[in-house]
Amino acid sequence: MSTTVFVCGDSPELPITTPDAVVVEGLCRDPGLLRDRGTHPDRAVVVLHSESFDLSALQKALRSIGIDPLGAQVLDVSSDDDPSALSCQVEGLKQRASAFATSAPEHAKPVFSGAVTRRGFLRPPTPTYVAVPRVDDSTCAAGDGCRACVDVCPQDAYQWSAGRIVYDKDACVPCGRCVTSCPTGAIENPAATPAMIDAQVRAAINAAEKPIGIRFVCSRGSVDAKSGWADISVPCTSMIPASWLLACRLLGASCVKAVPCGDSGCPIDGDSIVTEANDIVLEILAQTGFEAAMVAGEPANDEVEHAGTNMFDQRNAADIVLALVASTGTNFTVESEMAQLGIVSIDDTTCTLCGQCAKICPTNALRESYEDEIISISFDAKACVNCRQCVAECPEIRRGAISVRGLIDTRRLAAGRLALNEGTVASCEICGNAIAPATMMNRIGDLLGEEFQDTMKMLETRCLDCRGRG
Amino acid sequence: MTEWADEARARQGLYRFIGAALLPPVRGRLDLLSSAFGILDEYDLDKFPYFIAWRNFVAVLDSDVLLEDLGIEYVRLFGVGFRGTPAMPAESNYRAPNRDGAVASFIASLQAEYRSMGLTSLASAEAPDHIATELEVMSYLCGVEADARESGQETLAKDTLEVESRFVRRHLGVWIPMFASRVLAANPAPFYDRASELVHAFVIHEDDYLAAVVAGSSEL
Repeated sequence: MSTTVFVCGDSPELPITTPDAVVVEGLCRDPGLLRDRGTHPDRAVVVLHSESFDLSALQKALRSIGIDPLGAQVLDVSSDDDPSALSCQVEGLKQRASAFATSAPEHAKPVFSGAVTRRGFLRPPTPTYVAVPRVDDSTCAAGDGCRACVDVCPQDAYQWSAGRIVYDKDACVPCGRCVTSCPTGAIENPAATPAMIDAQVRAAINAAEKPIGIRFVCSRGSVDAKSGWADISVPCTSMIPASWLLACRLLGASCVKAVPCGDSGCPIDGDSIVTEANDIVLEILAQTGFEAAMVAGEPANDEVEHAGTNMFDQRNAADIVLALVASTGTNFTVESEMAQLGIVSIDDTTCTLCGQCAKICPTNALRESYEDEIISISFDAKACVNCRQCVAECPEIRRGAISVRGLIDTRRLAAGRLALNEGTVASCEICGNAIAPATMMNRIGDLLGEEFQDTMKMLETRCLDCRGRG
Repeated sequence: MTEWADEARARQGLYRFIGAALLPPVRGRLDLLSSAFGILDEYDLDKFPYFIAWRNFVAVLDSDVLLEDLGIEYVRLFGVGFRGTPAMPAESNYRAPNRDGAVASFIASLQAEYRSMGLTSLASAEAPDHIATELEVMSYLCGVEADARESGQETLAKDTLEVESRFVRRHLGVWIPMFASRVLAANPAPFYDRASELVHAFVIHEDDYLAAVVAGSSEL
């Protein structure tokens, strides 16, 4: 796998320090010049110094030399004046491009700038292509009722229908919230996979001569480069979970931040979510003694150990948090509606042990088990992603049988699986098979009332197969 | 001639080209594909994401493909065998429910759609829901669009574009991804591996592209 850095050679001041960069004169004006270079790398980073380059022409040129544009990294350095930060950026993008796997046809969405008219020009406009997510049906938990992507999508691009997720590419303005909210990792945007983000962050930090900060910025917005920070471009910063920021900190970033775009016209409108993620991280770092580093951007404790691989996979949020505890020796508790982790509570006076919560739980944080005529619902805080689908599914929710708090409680994470409720199961007096939890029978009896006592007696003593027998 | 017409002609050729690649392999057809490649490659196909799949397929076409091997592989993948068919190249196999009369009913409704376009299917040809037939229908529509653009009939061109978009969204765009995935799962020879990759990439792009053009067009 070869990755080439192409640099526009028109600006002699372009402060690129990448030794193996291929300099192309006039690249900003005519991306088609890439074809004449005679190089055919697998992946590419393109460094330009103009905000007004033609992206569709660049994508076309990349395709013509065999490169998938959705995996190519483009860096506009027109507002950059810090050569040392630039070399970190380029190295980070090079590793990000190298970590690009592949894209499927479904991942490319054509976008035309403005209406397609013939009056202004006689040629069809060349679309640019943006990477959009795709649901992998083989790992999607919609069959069990999961609707996490439907709940978070600000464009209503997802619908749940008969156990399947129906995705409307036309409606999608890719923000990535579905990707980082999917409890099973079934949704992927090939242009910003956890592996690519991981590779870029590590490379940017390692390439820096002195500790640097990591900033996540929106790929659609324009954020001026800032000395001491390496920017990681993502479809929208509202997709950034707190664990990504903590992962950067664990990898050695002196400070971390997701930058709200502040664009009032943005259809995604995610600034409050970004602010909340930053606040969660600030709170955690404050409790573990890192607040100054986070805010001031000064070098922090270099001895922090990281949690291993897949640090930007949202499913590993608990591991990231526990790695921070291991590094700092400090437990902490942070509560927020939007926390990536949650704590489920069950009221054993109203829960009927029907098991619907365990059935819908996409991460198996809630689990139902049946042994020795005892049925129980257990909970593992490490696996809970605070999706609250157990609450939505609970038939006794009006009586408050189940609740979820968005809570990162490191002691609870370390405690492992705990039983939340358990009870006996009524057995068939004929065949001995289990009928239903006794609490559920009681509840049905309450609902039916005294008028149906005979019916209740039959329900409590006979299983479905034996109800017709003598 | 406008570039809109050029683009419609290119799409007309591509639909026919890909459809031919998925018909039973005979020497004359393979030779035609090889010669058609040069003509189609002159269009600006690298504007579109399927260009890489296109180039990958052409690379296989350029290599020495043994006709006999290809025939055996065609039958294994798409023919009816005692172990079933790994990837039936017909829409009803993916869309019609598995019950009596459902396939006939599905095909009847497809034929009604063809009639509304002024087409009818011949008994001697491939089935109406065969991949090559559906791709040929799209090729025909693109040809109508190109003719209309060349003769300045913009309303007819726009209406035809809408019919194209509707047909891809209702039919090819729905089942081709499933078909391509079944072909790949059957560990095919490179020719059909690349052909299924190309038809998948091309059809998905057509679905998105036509929808975007139709939605964004005000004066086409």
